[in-house]
Amino acid sequence: MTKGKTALYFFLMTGFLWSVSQDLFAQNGKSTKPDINISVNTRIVSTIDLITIKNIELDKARSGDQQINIAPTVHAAAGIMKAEGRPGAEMRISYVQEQELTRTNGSETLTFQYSVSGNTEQNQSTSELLDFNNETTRFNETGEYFFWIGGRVDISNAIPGQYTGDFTIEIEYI
Amino acid sequence: MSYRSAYLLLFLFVFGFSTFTPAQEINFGQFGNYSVTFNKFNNLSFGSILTGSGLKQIQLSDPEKATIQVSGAKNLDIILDITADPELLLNGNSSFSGDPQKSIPFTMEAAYANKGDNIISDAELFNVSSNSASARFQIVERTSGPPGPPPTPPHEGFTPPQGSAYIYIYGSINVGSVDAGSYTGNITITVTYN
Repeated sequence: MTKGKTALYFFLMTGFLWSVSQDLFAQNGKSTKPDINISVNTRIVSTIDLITIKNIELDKARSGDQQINIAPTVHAAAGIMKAEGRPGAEMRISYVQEQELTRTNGSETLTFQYSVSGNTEQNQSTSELLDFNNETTRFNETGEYFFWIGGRVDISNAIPGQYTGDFTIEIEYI
Repeated sequence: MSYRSAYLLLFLFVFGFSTFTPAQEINFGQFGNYSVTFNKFNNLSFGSILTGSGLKQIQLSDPEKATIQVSGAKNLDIILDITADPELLLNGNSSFSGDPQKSIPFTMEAAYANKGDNIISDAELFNVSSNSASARFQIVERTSGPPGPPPTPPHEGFTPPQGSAYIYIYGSINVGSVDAGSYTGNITITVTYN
């Protein structure tokens, strides 16, 4: 083979090999990779059951013509409720402090100021008064918590008759 | 070797070269020091759910979806990879993986909008498989006409025109009779300039 032919052959083979390498090089073009993390989250809650054991007995609490006053920690006329949930779980309690009682077969109203005490055992005398807004406490080891519902109402100008109303309490796990 | 053979080889070299050259694609991203930034508007939050309540979904149109802004040189392509955990775990504890009382299956969906604005009606869906997805697109889609000349790479005193694309992450969880508490999982988004 002459030098000219050798040089041409060498050039051709070099070009062939170079074209193959260029193909491989073109496949590798990615730069550095920043990243970011996104959190996916949810909060699972289980139900809390609320059972009315006894309603407030306003007529039993009346001792005069001016006012009815039921202290939840001592008065036998206090209503009783029980909450059932997860044993030992922490919970937040809120209740509507002031609600209207409406006379049955009429439209006259009385304003009732609720007062509530609570205890992990069914013992009214050792129960403690609860703040009406975002009180925190826990269920007992069997998943129970007891409430005594009392309060006061001014009846000095009340028209005689039956009065009814609601008591609203909200309990949620923390 | 005769000259005839050499010319034959030259012929093969010239025309054979085209068989080794791929469809023309120039990765401009490797010719400049480009950067991409993220701005996370919010995480993906399913809120409070009652145990045992079954399927809970967050759609693309829901405000609870995660929205992430990706910003950079508007004319360059990015390759975006998304990978999500297959389940949410109680308190994020990895030892609860697969525990039917302490894990919640999660199915991810995702979309992106690259017309310059955070508008879900502009969104294109990712093809998600096994909670993973990948897509390649311009940060800001060219609206019409052929591609312009190659963009000037960033250098001292010059920053290429910037733009933003928006990534939307949403999906569903299936809540069995699991323990009450906080459940979390993780999604990773990786972006590469091409």
